[in-house]
Amino acid sequence: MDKIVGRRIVIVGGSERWRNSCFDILTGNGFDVAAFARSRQALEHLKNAPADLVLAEFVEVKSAKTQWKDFLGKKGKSRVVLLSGSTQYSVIVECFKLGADDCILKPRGMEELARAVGEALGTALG
Amino acid sequence: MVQRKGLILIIEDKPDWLRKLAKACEKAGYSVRRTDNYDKAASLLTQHDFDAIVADIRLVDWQEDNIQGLQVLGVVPPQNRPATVVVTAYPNWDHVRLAFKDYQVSDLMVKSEFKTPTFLRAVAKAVGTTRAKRSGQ
Repeated sequence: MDKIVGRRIVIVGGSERWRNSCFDILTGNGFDVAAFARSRQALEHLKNAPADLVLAEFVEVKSAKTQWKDFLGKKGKSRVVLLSGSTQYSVIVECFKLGADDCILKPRGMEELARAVGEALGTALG
Repeated sequence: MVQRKGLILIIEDKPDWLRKLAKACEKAGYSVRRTDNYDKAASLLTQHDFDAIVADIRLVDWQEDNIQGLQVLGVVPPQNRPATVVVTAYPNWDHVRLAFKDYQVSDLMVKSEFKTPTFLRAVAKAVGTTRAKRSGQ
C-alpha cells in the first residue's frame, strides 16, 4: 500500500456517514483530512489552509455557487473535484464552467474513492 | 466593405446541422469554414488561425464510440487551441467529461435543446476567450 504523508484533502458535503467513511480511508492512507458538511466552513478553512485536493459534493457547491466560483478562480495549485450523484450531462457542464478540475460520479464504495483520489493526485492508493 | 467578427471553424457530419450552424454564424457576422470530416478539419486547423471552433463530438454517426470531433482538436497544441463550443446529439457522461477535462472545451450544448441565441452567445464568448488568450491576458 502506498502512503502519502502530509498531503491535505478537504471533503465537503454529503452525509455524515459518507464523510466519516472517506475520512477513515483517506487518513488511513496518510492524508491529512478535514471534512465539512457545509460550504461556508469549508471555504473559511481553505482560506487559511490550502488543500492539495478538495472533494466537494456538487449539490453543496451549487448551494453556495457564488462563493465557490470566487474560490475556484483563485484556487492556485489545489485540485478541485466535484462529485455528482446524477448522471445528467448538464452537471458536468456546470462543474467545469464553475472552474472545477474534474467532475466525477460519486464513488459508490471506498475502493472507487481511493481510485478517484489517486487519479486526481496522480498517485496510487492502497 | 463588411468587417467580419471572427473566423469560425464548424466541424459537423450532418449536412442539415452543418448548414444550420454555419448560417447562424454567418448571419451573426462571422466568417465560416466548414467541414464534415476529421481529415479536412485537421487540415483547416493547421492552415488558419480560427477564433473559435464549433464541433460535434461524433463525426461518424453509427459509431457510438466515435469522438473524432474532439480528437481533431488535439491537432492544435492546447496553448494555441481556439476555444471550442461542442454541439452534440449524444451527451454521454464520459464524452462530455472528456470534452471538458482533456480538451478544455468552453461550452457544450445538446442538439435536442438547441437555441440559436444561446449558441451565438457561446460562440461570442469563445471568440472573446481565444482573442484574450492570444493577446496574453
